[in-house]
Amino acid sequence: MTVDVAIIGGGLIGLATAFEARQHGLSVQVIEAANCGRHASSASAGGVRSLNRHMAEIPLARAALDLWRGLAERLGHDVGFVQSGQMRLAEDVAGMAAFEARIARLADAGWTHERLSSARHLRVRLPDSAPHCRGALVVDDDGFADPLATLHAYRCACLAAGVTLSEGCAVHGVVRAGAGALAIDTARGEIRARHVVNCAGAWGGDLVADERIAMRTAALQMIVTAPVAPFVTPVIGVHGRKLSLKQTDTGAVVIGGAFEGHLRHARDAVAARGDLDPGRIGASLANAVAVFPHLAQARILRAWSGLEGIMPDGLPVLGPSGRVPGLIHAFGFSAHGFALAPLVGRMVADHLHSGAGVGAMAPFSVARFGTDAPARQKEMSDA
Amino acid sequence: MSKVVDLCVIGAGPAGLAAAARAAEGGLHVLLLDEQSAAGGQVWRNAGTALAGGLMPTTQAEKVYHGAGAALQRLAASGVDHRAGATLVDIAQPETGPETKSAPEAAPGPEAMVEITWRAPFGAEAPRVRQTAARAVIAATGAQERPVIFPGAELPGVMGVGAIQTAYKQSGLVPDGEGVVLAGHGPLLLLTLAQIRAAGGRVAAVLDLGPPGAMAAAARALPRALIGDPALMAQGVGLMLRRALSGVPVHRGVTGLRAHGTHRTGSIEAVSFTSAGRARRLPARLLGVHDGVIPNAQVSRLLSLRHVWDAGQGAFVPVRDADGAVAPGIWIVGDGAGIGGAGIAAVDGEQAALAVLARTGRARTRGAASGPQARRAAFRRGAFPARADGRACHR
Amino acid sequence: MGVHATDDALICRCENVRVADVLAALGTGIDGPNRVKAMTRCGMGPCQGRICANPLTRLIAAETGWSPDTVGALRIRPPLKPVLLMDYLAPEIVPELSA
Repeated sequence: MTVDVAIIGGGLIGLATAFEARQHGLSVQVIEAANCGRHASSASAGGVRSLNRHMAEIPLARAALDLWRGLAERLGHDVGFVQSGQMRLAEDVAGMAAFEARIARLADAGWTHERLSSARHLRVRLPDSAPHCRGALVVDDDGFADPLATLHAYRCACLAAGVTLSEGCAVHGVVRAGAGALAIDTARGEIRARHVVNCAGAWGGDLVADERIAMRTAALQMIVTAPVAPFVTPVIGVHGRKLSLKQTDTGAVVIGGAFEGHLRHARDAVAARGDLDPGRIGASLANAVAVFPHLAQARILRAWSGLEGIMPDGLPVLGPSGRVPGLIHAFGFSAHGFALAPLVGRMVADHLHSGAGVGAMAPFSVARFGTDAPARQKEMSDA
Repeated sequence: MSKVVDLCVIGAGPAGLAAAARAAEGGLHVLLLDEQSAAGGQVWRNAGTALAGGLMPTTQAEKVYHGAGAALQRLAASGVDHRAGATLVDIAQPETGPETKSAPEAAPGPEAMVEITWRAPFGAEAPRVRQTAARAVIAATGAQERPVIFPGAELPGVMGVGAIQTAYKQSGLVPDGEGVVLAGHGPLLLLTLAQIRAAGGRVAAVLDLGPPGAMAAAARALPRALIGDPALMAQGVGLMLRRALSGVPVHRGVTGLRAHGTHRTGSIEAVSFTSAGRARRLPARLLGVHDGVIPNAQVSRLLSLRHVWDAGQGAFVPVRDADGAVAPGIWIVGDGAGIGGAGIAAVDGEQAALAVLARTGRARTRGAASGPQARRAAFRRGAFPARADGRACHR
Repeated sequence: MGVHATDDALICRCENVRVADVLAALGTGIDGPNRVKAMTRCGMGPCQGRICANPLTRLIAAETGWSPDTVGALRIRPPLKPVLLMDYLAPEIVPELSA
């Protein structure tokens, strides 16, 4: 029996792709080594952000926002999406100048979603921010959602739609198996599929033996506090500091920002984990206190780390494999894939159904890592 | 304060005190971290003050705190770096095996450290969160009460009997006045009842939540639960219990326990239940509940160690070898490894310290503690074959 | 699990999760305490499972008929007890707040 689409990896990218593929009437099986959302998806900060994105990702992020607004209704489950806005604070004149330059660059490319907010407006909107903050770069219709609720929503929607979910099933490799089919070697035997989607996250670079893609796994630390009196609505980043901060509807403050813990058992998709580094937790918290001094009194309830697959250029690998016909890559979202998941699912499913959409995926093609691929301009957000 | 130590002991109850002192006497640099402001853990809480006559008659203190005085003096003489008021934040063993039910991966090298993150007490130099690397760790985090789940358990005025014990040991206070109800089963419930009565308090009713015969079994187990030395307590305990239970209504075979709160303050005002086929409702201002004690397994959980379910205790216990080791360089001793009481805990701690010393080549002889406590402790660690009826020695 | 744990009893006080909420989660086909935690928030509060972990395993075992060893235990996270944010900070970072 050959399934239409086999999806390797049951995180949000895999589940979104599975759900959307079912909407096209394709038969779908998701193969997950541990349990759905075990690594990056359940540890995400939940930011739905188009602010400060790499130029290549902006179209995806903007289109994803539209999907997030209707996602709960589409899946039949709440995903906790809040259109809170996102702000990136500048602590000095140089930061504000960098923001102005960026707005100009975006305008040249036809994007107007980012705007500058002055110090005066900051005092009104964020009265608890440190007095030295000079202003901010703002996207008003960005927001955040609840990763666990989103995972649960997609998982239930997949099961209700008839997706076959195989958890606890590690994948060893994918090879061609004759005309129009691929064979996936799993811990529970061989699975055959007409198409395979590589949503294996931090392990996606090892899936195809002759198409290995260099990437590294990072254990990114997150901290959540006990509830604090409401003081911020938008999600906050800071120019020149590694910080991502937001306050949930319970009043808890979630603090992240790409500080890394110690990775253990990196190559094992089931056992891999990150141990926390108190010094780097301290650095993360110091960044939070620098812009919101009153947080020094907050109580830390829980810290954890999620494993993310980080690409050398910070951009995902999205699009057809260069080596294995019928294999589509959709991994390597480098710690900012949560917001894009609904859209990536749609793009990959549409492509599987009709073959269209290769152009939209071209900037993320695996071909960029080939020896004859042009060197990418590195234009990443700072810190 | 040094960043690397030979041994970090977590918990200053009977097991931790014995382990820390023995290892320090053997020449190791030992850091003892304990949450409480004074050593003693739960069973010897506030022993120093009590033995000095500060809370209860000295004769009673010496029964309640049997062994504590000697253990505290030993600690003071041993050179252990004892940090009172230090909270454990995190613990990690870099090379530990995967968090699965299969056997852990291959052992780390001899110099693999355990990373302990802890918070120094208030008033210490910032940053209060510190990290220490230890060549060996002995976790002696003791027991906790098994949480009892019933409607209304979260109301103010409902508490585990451990909280009543704490108030008694820390400040000499017992519940007073009308409406004090105790519910549950197990030796600690009876002990609490006896202490309240002996201090002049009143208990309106005892609700026996255990299966038939549980209260009698608890009474027999009381001396072991108390100090682990039946010979010393047998005479006194029987008398104590008879006095304690006289005049107190005991409802047996209780089901459907529910605590009811007032509308105004939200505190408990009544408890309802079914006993002997009849629905009952009693006024209650304070409800002390107890359903036995279980190991405090938070350290072993953070370390992702193997556990097995012990049906007798109704809890997970870490899988240990004959010395109490759960992983290379890590030992878990005392009630934190499985409930056995203070006497067994001290022997357990001693044995693990000897193993740590042997590992560093510092023990003159490997040695083993002796006596009936040591035999029970060794049995519990699995040094002898299990009994035919499968029961562990401590139940 | 105990004949007193009615559906309306709280199993997780930190996050206000009732026994009924856990039973509903089990009804969706999830099979362990950590999946229950992700769905209901049971075990995510300041006590790090000190109250709910043992009852949760026993409740799942009773409902599913599986042994507690098969059910497994709640995964907990540091800090074991809440720590003030400023406890992580060196004095020069927040000089006016150091003790």
